[in-house]
Amino acid sequence: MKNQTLSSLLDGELAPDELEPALDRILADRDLQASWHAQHILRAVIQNDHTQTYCHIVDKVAAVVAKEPAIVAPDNLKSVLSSEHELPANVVAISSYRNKVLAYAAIAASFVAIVMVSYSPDRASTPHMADATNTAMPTKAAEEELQSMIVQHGEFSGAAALNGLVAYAKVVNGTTAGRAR
Amino acid sequence: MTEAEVDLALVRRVQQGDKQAYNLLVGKYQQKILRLVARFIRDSMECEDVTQEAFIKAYRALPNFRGDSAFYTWLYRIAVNTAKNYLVSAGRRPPSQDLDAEEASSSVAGASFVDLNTPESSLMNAELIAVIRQTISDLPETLREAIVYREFDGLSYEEIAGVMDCPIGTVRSRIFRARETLDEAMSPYISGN
Repeated sequence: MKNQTLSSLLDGELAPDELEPALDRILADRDLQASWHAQHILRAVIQNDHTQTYCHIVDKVAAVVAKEPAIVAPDNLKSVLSSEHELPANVVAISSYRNKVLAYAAIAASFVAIVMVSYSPDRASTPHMADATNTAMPTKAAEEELQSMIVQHGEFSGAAALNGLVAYAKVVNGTTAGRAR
Repeated sequence: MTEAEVDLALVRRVQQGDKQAYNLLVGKYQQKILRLVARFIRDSMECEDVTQEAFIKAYRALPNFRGDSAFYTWLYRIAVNTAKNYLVSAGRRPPSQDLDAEEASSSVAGASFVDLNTPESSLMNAELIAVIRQTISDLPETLREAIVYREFDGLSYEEIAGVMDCPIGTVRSRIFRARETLDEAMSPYISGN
């Protein structure tokens, strides 16, 4: 036991404003951490709650946790991402993941836009040229065909990485919106 | 400031990426969780593995911990589920009746746990316990009284100050010095940490 503050912390006798500085000191000092573990073993012995494996579990869990990505809670993620130069490697991985998701979303949006522009329900009946001024309502069969095509091709698009949510979304285009009116 | 508040402060640090803070939580609760798991699983090696797995699961789930319940209560549920799932996956039936977290953490409940010790570790434990008892016995009377009131009787510093008729600052100092002496005596037995 190297620090009286640690002793008070163990007993829950620190003032609220002393807590964070005390934790800072313990987490920066391996001797204090060893004292923390020793005092909890002491408590376990006193309370007849002592087992033989006390040393190993902390070490084993610490070894596994060391290989895990660091937790970054959502509230903290924004501030962390804003200072890229300080990002540790595993947080960079999270940033990279976010960028991938955005890229997939952009690809998916492009795919849907292309389908909407290039496919007109009228093309099924007049394949030679679409009439840009044609505002005729699509038939139910044509609309079903469009949805079916989007669903069938969804798994090959970048949107598949988003669990197919974008691919399976109902497509609303000008003609269907017009019909809704 | 309660123990739950200390736990929550540590949890917040883990949630901000401080893995070392999680080690403190593991060190604090490993005994209780190991004893809890031993209620479900008799084999000491399996107990250790399941306890370790429970702590790792808890770490992975910590981003979802909001502090609505005490950390230990939350950890307790993870440990119970981990132990039960282990039994099911091993083709064994988990007990139908659960303990509540309070009962599981009490020393009375601990008395009925299975013995997790191997002969070697039992000897080590016996030595450690003997050293602790002897060290407490050898402490100056004021230090011994203070640490006994605190650790055995669970009195607060204010209550101890009332019983010993001294300022709270003196109680704080006496308990610290008693712990310092105990820490030195125990260190050869827990050098693994």
